Amino acid sequence: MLPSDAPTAGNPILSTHNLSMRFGGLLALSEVSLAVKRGSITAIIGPNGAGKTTLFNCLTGLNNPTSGLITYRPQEGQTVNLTHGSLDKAARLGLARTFQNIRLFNELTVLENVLIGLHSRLKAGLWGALTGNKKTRAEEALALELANDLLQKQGFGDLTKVLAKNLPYGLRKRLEITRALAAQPTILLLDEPAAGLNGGEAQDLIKLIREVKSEGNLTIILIEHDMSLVMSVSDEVHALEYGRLIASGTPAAIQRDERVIKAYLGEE
Amino acid sequence: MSLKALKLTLVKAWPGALWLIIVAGPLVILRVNEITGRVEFVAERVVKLLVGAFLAAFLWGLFRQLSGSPEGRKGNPPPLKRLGLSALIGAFISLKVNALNKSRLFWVIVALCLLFFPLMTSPYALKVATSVLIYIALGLGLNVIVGLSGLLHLGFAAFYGVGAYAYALLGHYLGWGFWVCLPLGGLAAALLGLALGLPVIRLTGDYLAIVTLGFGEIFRLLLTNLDVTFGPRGIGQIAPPGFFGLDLNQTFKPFLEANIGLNPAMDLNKVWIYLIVLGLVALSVKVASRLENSRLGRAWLALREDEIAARAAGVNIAFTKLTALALGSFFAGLAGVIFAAQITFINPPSFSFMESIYILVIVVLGGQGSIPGIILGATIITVLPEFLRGSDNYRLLIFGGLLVLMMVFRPQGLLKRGR
Repeated sequence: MLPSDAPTAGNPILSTHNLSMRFGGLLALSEVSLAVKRGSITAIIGPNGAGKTTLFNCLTGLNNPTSGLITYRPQEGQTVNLTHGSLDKAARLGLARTFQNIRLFNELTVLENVLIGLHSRLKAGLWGALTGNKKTRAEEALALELANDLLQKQGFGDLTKVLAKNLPYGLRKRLEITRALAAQPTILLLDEPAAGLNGGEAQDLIKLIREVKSEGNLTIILIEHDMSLVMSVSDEVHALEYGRLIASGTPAAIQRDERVIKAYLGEE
Repeated sequence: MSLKALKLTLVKAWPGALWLIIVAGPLVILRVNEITGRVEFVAERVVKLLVGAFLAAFLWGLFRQLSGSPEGRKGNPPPLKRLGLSALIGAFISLKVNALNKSRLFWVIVALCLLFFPLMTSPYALKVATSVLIYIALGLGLNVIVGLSGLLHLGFAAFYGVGAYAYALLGHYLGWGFWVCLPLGGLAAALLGLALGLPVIRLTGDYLAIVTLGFGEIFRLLLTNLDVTFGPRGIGQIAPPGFFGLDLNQTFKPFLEANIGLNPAMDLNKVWIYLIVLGLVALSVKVASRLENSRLGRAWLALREDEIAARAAGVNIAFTKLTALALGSFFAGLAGVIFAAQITFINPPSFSFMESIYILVIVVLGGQGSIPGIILGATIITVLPEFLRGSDNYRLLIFGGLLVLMMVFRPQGLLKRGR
């Protein structure tokens, strides 16, 4: 059962309630309560070590919070408790993510990376793989088509057979996002998608984020240090400092928020 | 050495050079472009190939002359050499030339050669060929675990042993036949694979290697010390596989000897086992290549590459690891049953740690995850020691050296997994 004071206003798709995460003596997250609106782009900002990635890890089940509650509403009227989830379960429920240090399948090709991204949308099990029956072959053909289409669209035209490790940095970042998109997620979580990108690549990224959001019924949560990107794409911003949520609001409001300014620039 | 002899050597080098060009030529002048995945022709290497092949053949002839080998020996080379050569030629041609790989006619010819091989050869060569096939099956099994899923398994011989002992014991105590025991042996090994897998789901890398190593040793020690398994004495007189209740040697041998020229020393039961394992390997290759390009196969690869990223893509790690272990062990169990039927006597030392290492070497040598590589690796690992029989004591030393050289010059294995 959910506590009655859980933040449910506006029917958020994902919400946390008093989320805390402790690593030994370090309190990485402290009583964080926030709500992510359905179909919005939400940015999590904060100085290094503020707990942004830990928050992501809790949301996607890579870490389980020490206390608190995570509620996920994939559809209206459907409520899933994600508090004690796991990474693969969250993925199957529609939460796809990227990682701060790109995690690609380096020795596999670009195409194989995206095919693995499709994993949760395919059904074939051990029996299908062993016998190669009609249903499995049809599914495999469909998977190839989906993956190739997606790769064409994301500009990997001639590169589908290249090993992921041989891609330049910008494309590696893009491939990781493409792999996450292959799962057709409900929520896409991007951990510093613009880190290390040059100006042009960052512009492409902004375009990509807007596109995928408008095409699919997608909610995007991103961690980002690039403030121009955050301010231009996000609908709502949450600022963390030392594991605490210090401000939430529209980009314009966050820019004026004294505590955020203090956290970034220090006090006089 | 006279000038005349030298001239003769020069002339005689030509056929050898030609042979080298045919066998090694494709390796030298064709290059796979890793970016585009296309096969390219490298023109500037043709001269190198011609000169190199001739030089090598000439030096070999010179060496034979100087070392006093019988010159101008008539008749066929001994069967083993023939086997080794044909295996190597077959391996190179089939693996390196992609166009041939796709031609159906080529595969029909290969299949016919393999099917009629027993009629043309000696019992000894047949035994070696059967061993090669058994090791291919074992290699394919371990490949699922080590090559595709990246789980370092050092106790694989135990699962091989489970199959062999399942057949031997069920035959001895219950009188069950080969065809009943073949699936049972596979299943028993698969179940044991699951039993090993459950407690080690969370282990990876070195820790998994240690656990599997210990598991293999426990299995061997159990076999040695239990009364049920006849301890170190082992079990003998294991029945050959049945053929519709007929005695093969009585029924077919006179006819085959008279009309087809079968070697009189050949035991038709062994021929039957060869054919069974040949069919099984063909099926295994088919299944293994299907697995590689399936959702499950990709999950194994993802697990090998990055466990966290695999989970983030929705891959269930426990299920993926367990299926890899169970399926790989199933292959080993089948191979074990056939091994027991072939050799008719098994004892614990057949399933020692060294055996696990041999199978691992097959996978690593051939190229992890590559099916053609495993076929080549199994052939080398089985046939090479037969050539080195004279220097039996140095066998392990040579193996060790080979592995070190491999890791230095070709860490990805002889034949890398293609895409």
